[in-house]
Amino acid sequence: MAVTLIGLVIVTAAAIFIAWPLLSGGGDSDAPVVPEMSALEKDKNAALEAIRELDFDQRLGKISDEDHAGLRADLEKRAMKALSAADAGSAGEPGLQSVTSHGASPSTSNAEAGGFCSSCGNQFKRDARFCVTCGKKLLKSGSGRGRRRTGS
Amino acid sequence: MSEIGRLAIVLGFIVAIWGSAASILGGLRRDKALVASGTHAAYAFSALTGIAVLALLQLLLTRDFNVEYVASYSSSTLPLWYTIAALWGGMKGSLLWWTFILAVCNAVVQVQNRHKNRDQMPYVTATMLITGGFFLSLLVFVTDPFERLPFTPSEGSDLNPLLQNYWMTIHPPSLYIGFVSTTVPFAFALAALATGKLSDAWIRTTRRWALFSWFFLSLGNLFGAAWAYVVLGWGGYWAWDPVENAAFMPWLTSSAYLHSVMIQEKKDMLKVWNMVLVILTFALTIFGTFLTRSGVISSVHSFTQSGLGPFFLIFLGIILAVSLGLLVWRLPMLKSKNELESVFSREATFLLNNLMFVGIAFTVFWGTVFPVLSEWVRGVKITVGPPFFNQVNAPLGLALIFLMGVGPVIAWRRASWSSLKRAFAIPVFAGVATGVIALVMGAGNFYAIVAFSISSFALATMFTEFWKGMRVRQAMMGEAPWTALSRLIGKNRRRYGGYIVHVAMVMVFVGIVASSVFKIEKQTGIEIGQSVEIGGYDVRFDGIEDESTEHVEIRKAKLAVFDDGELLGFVYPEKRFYKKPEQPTTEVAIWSTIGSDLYTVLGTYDEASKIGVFQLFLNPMISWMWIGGFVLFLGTVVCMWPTYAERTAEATSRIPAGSKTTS
Repeated sequence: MAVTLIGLVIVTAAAIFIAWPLLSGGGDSDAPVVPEMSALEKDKNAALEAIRELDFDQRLGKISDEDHAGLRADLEKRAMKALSAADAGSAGEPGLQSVTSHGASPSTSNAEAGGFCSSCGNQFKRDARFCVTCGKKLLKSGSGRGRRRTGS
Repeated sequence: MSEIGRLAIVLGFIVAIWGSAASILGGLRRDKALVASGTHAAYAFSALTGIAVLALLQLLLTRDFNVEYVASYSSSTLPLWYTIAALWGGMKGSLLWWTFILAVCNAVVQVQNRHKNRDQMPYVTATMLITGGFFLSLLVFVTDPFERLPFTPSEGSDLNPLLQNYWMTIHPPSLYIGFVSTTVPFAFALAALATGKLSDAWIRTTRRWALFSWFFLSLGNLFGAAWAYVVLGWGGYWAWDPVENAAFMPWLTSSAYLHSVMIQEKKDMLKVWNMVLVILTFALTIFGTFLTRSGVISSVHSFTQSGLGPFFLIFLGIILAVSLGLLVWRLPMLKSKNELESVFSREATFLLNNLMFVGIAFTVFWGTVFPVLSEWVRGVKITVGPPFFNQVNAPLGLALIFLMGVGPVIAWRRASWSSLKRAFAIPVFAGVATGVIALVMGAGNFYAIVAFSISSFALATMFTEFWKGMRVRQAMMGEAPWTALSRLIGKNRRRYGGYIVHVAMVMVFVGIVASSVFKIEKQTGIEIGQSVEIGGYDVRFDGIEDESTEHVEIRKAKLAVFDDGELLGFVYPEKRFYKKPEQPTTEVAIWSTIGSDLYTVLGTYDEASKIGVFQLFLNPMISWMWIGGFVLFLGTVVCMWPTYAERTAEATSRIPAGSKTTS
């Protein structure tokens, strides 16, 4: 008897639980969805990551200065291209805005962009003194190429 | 309780069918309600398999011998630990356990992705539910774990004594977790193919899962080796047994994938290849299950044999047909954006490394299935023994270790001659020096000298990587050495965690080489009070003790171990006679140090002459393998630990949409 009861409870519970989204019309459809990173954002991140690694490889002596300069220029171009494309299309790209919003301010545009944090790679505003993502102090290098060093 | 368990698996099977159908239909028609119902089905599936596992556990613990499974794999005198382990001690239970682990993985995937990858998730859910449903269908229609007997035996026939070992409680679960979790990357790969969202989103989503399953496959293999070493009593740990091979092959392809996936992330190359590796890894786990359970191949694992082989073969066929079909359909979308620029580049070493891994996997596959094929085709069963595997795989293994030393220091895209010279000066010196030292110390074996030399080369590369990186950070940031080292690792966990794993692999490799090349073996009769010399140790036979419990009779030999006349301690090799089923087993005793293992086996003992026959082995450096296992764990943890950015991203994703973040 008890077994039959438990069995009934299991069957009913499973049936209601599975049918619920159909009965309530939509189920979890209102659940918040984290937008996927846009292709441009990914491009930018990949390029920044590659720049960091390239710089470190140069310091480790794995790559000649000449190769380093060439490769770095390519990567910088790629990052900037992704950035400007992302900003140009930001109205139709809600994904990029919300992804960057937990890093740099969503309104950061190229005009305001100060460069990329060399510690975490996030973009920062021109007047920023600390990286909003990792908290590293940003030192102005004056190179004007949009990249600042952190630390001493 | 068996009725509840039976109900749970039948219902679970129905739920799996509904869930996969609803998910696929919902995905195709973009019907959110259907997709949500599929998600709920995935959770319900986990709950139901959980109920089934609990029901079986309850039956085992209450020793309900009316249930066929309980009567076959436990007894009233079986200790509690092994009674719990009996859950996966028999074929039916292990299939249920397998399904349960898969269901848990599925539930975790659902929770992780509740706010993301929404387009792909229906197909992920469907793939995992179809796989889970397949396993349950075997339990529902073919081999019911809750089957009752027409009578109740007064006693169960007990767990196979070979399985009554502490490794039993950890080896099968870790290997199963490794096998089963390969389903997750596979499901995401299929979902990417099905939806056409072929960017590397699926790769980033499953990166940790791939590493997770690789880690558990590594542990499963290593634990299996350790178990074989202490239980089977032949002095070794690996015999290229079909079932060992079955667990080794997915590890190989999964290792290949972990490497080649970096090329896709960084260079946008090898997209098709990575898909193939993920599909292959999953297919190999199913193939492994087929090998273990079909009985087509005789193996040390014969305790899980059954007539389920054809079902696994059919399922394997369906998996390959569907996934490769999808892959061919999407081929035009998977073109590489880049090309290999130079053979002296890190990309090239990665490619070579993949060739080695897949080459070894193919060799192992061929050696494993050849006996079956030859029997089918020519009617003659030819056994492929360890010499075949060793001869082909030893050079490939050496080449892999060599690449391990080359890859990290060589630059991406192309390396210049001068940078190569600078990078390899120390490692090459270390390699040559080790070779010379090994030669001088009398390691006469060519293979061993080369292996030690290459291992030392690879280790030197790894250490210089840490050293140089630390020095650069010290100079750049003005940090103290330890801070610099920990931040170096922290900032690039995948790279340095990977290096730690490489160190572990070198340790395992050195352990394997030393213990197989320099092994000493002696079979000898020793009279009580007399001693025998082996590899610098003196072993004295001090006597025999007999013990008896209602479960088992134990005959224990007392051996005193001396080094240079100094007593180090005692070891007690045993012969056991289990009463249910009546079966003798050998319990080895090992005197283990970092340098070598003295491995003792009691053969027979003659009361009249007071002579015991022993098999003694001296296995050099075998503990390096087990220590390597710990290092491997450490490296994997470093790799898997979330970075600062990932932790903040995760925290942000928990904040409901619409609310503002203050930053």
